[in-house]
Amino acid sequence: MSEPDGVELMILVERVVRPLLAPHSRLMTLRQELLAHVEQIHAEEIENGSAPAVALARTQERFGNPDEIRRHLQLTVPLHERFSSWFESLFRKRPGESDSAFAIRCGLKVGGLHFVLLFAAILALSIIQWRSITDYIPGFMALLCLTFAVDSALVTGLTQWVVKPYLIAEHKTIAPKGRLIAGTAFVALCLSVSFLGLVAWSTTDAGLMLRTVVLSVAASATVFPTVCLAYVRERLAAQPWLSLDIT
Amino acid sequence: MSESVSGDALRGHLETMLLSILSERDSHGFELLKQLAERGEGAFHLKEGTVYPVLYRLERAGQITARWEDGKSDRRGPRRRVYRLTAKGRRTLETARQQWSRFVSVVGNIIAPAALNRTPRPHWA
Repeated sequence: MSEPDGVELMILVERVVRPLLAPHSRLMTLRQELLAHVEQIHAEEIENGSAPAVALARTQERFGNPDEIRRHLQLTVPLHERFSSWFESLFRKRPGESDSAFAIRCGLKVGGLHFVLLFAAILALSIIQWRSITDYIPGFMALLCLTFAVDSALVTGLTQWVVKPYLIAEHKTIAPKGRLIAGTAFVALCLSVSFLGLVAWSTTDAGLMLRTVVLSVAASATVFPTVCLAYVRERLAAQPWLSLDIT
Repeated sequence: MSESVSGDALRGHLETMLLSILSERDSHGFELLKQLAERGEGAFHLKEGTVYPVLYRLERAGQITARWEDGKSDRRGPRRRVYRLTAKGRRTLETARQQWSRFVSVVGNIIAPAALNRTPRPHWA
């Protein structure tokens, strides 16, 4: 099989796989499995005496419509894997995005996440105690979330400087199962820091406030580099596929 | 060449057919399709890529498991994923076979009793 034909077969497979909302490991499994299959079809067509161009066309015809195959494959991806891929995409650098814009965007999302978590907790508390929600919303909640947003933006900015030689922006998201764990741990840390922050800011205890900020920075500094470096490893493994033009 | 079987008729039975083939031996996707084509006497015109969503669905349901083939083959190129029937898959297949036998018997008696060498029962019997 010639190299151009090999590339065409990879493009056929990538048209199925790349748009899938699924973890990196699942996408790589699909790529390898489907490529093995289309290469066998192609080899069979060549053995039957077809010219390379005809064999390629016959392979595409026998394999089927990539959009239809992908639609059915997407249904086989478990819901939690789709969610983790989507959640991870919220913190993925966009093509052409500057370092500072990426850091600010991540910071705002982390601040927003804290706000949502705190609001949900306050809502639950007001329902349990059957009191008006306004009785529980602290005046400092916005300031607290802004503090966490600034922490995360600073950490993301610094993290990019560390891993910058390896980060590549992409449209589609791929996430290993490990990042689901990291994401869950991150949300758990956010919850813990949020509640600690509620206490610290309500009592305006300077020492406690400082410890809360340090804990928030430490949490972000642990999670973001882990996520970035895992993403870099994925990117390097998938580079032969991601460099293909499938349009 | 035998008459083609429509996609609608095939749909719904593909999972059972794949389980049946895997009950005889472990196979990868390409080999499964070859078996389907041979045993189907050329009546099935299945787009080959569409078998993989079915296989992944069966795997997720625990009916089959998959492993990468070992590197001992002389074949070049990417490794293939070999599927194997699980105990749960065997039970599902057995149930499906019983249901199919019953279906063929009942419907065949109505549609084509002669083809089944049966005399249709009169309505008063």
